Amino acid sequence: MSHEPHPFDQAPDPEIRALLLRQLDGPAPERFVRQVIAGLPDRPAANSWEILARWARPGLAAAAITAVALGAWLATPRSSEPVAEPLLELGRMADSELLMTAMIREP
Amino acid sequence: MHASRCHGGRGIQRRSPLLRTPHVTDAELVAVAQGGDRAAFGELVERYGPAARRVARAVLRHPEDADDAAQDGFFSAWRHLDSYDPRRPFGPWLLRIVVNAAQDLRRRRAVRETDPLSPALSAGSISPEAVAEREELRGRMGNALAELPERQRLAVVLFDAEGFSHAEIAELLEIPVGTVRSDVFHARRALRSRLGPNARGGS
Repeated sequence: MSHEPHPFDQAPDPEIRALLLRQLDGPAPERFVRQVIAGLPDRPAANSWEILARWARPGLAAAAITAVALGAWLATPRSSEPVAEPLLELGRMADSELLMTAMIREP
Repeated sequence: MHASRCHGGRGIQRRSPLLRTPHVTDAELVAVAQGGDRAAFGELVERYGPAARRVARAVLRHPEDADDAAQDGFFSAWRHLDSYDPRRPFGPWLLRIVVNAAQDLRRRRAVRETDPLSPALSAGSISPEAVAEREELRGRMGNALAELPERQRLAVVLFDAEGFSHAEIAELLEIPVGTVRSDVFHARRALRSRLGPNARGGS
């Protein structure tokens, strides 16, 4: 085995994988499957509505979160005045002050 | 995950209409099995049986004990299918149950400690020397695995043999991702040092 392992390896090592499979694979997989299925204990069939409700629950939760977020966004008061206006005004004032300062200091 | 993660529909031709559909997902099979459909659960056993047996063997060295534990794991999963969260992948949920079943079995009874793992090697065209060499490598691999702490053994099996990510293994074994990374690294290094430079996985 030539490859030196690295702590940041992200991919399975094919050599170790092959050795592990050879070591750990069980014989007769079909027989194992048959044994498991044959031995399954009785399980009370769940009501179809219960199953549907269980699977719908994550979707309903996501829809509720979206609705709450949308409601909060719509309820936030927003000013009708454009943001650019006060900024431009501020810029004009600063310019004039700077110009005055420069003129006064000029000999 | 490699083959065991495949969602293919091998051997499903004689089953219910849904199962005849190719590429039925695990989640769809679980939904049908939750209604009591054994064939749907059987398809999941086919998909995850090999991985469950390997993971059980990473905990219990004796193959018969490991198969008992894997079987117990499937029975337990069948009984508790209602607690499965369909938003999460099925494989790690099932294998967590199998690991628990294997650890329970070890606690309940004095399981056999030896490792007679020896699936019949089809000698066929393989020379006696090659068979002997393979058996010798199997023996060394068995010993090397047995010497690893159980958590490292599970981590390297789940990462290298089953193809789970570090994050998935962390969730499955309920340990931090950094610990999984470290366990895989140390396990690989120990296996490589025990097996030597000439060991190869190929047949």
